[in-house]
Amino acid sequence: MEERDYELFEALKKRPDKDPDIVFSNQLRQKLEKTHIKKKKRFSIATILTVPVTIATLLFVFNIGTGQSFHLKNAAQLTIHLEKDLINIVCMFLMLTLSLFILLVYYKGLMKGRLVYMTFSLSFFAWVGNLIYAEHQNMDEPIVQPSYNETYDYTSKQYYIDEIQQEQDNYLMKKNEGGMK
Amino acid sequence: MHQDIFKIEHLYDCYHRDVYHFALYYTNSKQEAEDITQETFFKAIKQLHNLKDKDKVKTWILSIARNTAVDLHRRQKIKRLLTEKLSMQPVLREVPKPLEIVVKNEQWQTVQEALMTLKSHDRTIIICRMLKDYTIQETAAILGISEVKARVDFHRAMARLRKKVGGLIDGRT
Repeated sequence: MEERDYELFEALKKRPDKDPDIVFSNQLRQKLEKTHIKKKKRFSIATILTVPVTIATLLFVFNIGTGQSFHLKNAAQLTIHLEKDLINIVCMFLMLTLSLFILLVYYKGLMKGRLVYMTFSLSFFAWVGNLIYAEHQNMDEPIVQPSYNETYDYTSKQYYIDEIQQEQDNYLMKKNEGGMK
Repeated sequence: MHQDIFKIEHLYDCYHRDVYHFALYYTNSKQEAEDITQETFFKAIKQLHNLKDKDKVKTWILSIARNTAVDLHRRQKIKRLLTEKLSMQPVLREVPKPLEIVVKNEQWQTVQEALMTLKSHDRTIIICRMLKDYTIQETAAILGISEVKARVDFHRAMARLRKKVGGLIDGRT
């Protein structure tokens, strides 16, 4: 370090207005004495609201992943077992991912964040909204017309095709009877 | 509760001068230095329960002071820019009269002016190392960087300051 550097900084160290004003210092000290320390709340409003919402979300995911017990009338009615298995696997995977995400959020202490709280709340409201919609919107089941494909093995799937055909016939008969009345 | 208040009083008595000096060198304004000192101690009260290592209280409180100073400068910059935009004119600073220049042309002011032209990081390092005589370890803790980086940055900051001081002295002679 050059000697001139020290000289310059020594000059700055001795600037005339270096020390704080005594009146200001005393006032600030008094203010600090009067300030009461607020103990950190163990449970904030966000935590109180987030916990039930999270539990509800977990229950929702568990129900969706295991049994579809909400009787969602317009949810896809699965007819082929392979598709059903695939959907179950996807649901289980989603449930696991979401559970891990929620665990991570709690583990990292991110649950105080408004963004996380909003996400959980939105998913909860979406669930409730979907339930209400499914209950009140009683629409007819869509008719799936069978299509022919040369590469598809119809003989091994005959049982399912007959089942679908039977359901379609029953539906059309009911509809015709209703129309005649 | 009583113990906490005692701690805060003790903390204030021990470090308020250090905080004020840092703020004054950082801003070169008495009013801003007072604001920073006040805000720093109020922040310290709120966060005192988070302080685990009591031995690092000095660097802890100075890092709060540094962050407060940076925030205050940022807020003022935004305010100044908004004022300029709204009034559609640049805010003119007071131009010192020739006599004031002669009176003000003291050595410490030359260094302070040069210090003010440096970036926040460089300014903090120089204040800590040269004006407050903190060790490299303490400076690194205040800035939240490694000791090696603090050492390298200090030498670079000093080189920049020398250049600025040289320029200011040459400009006045």
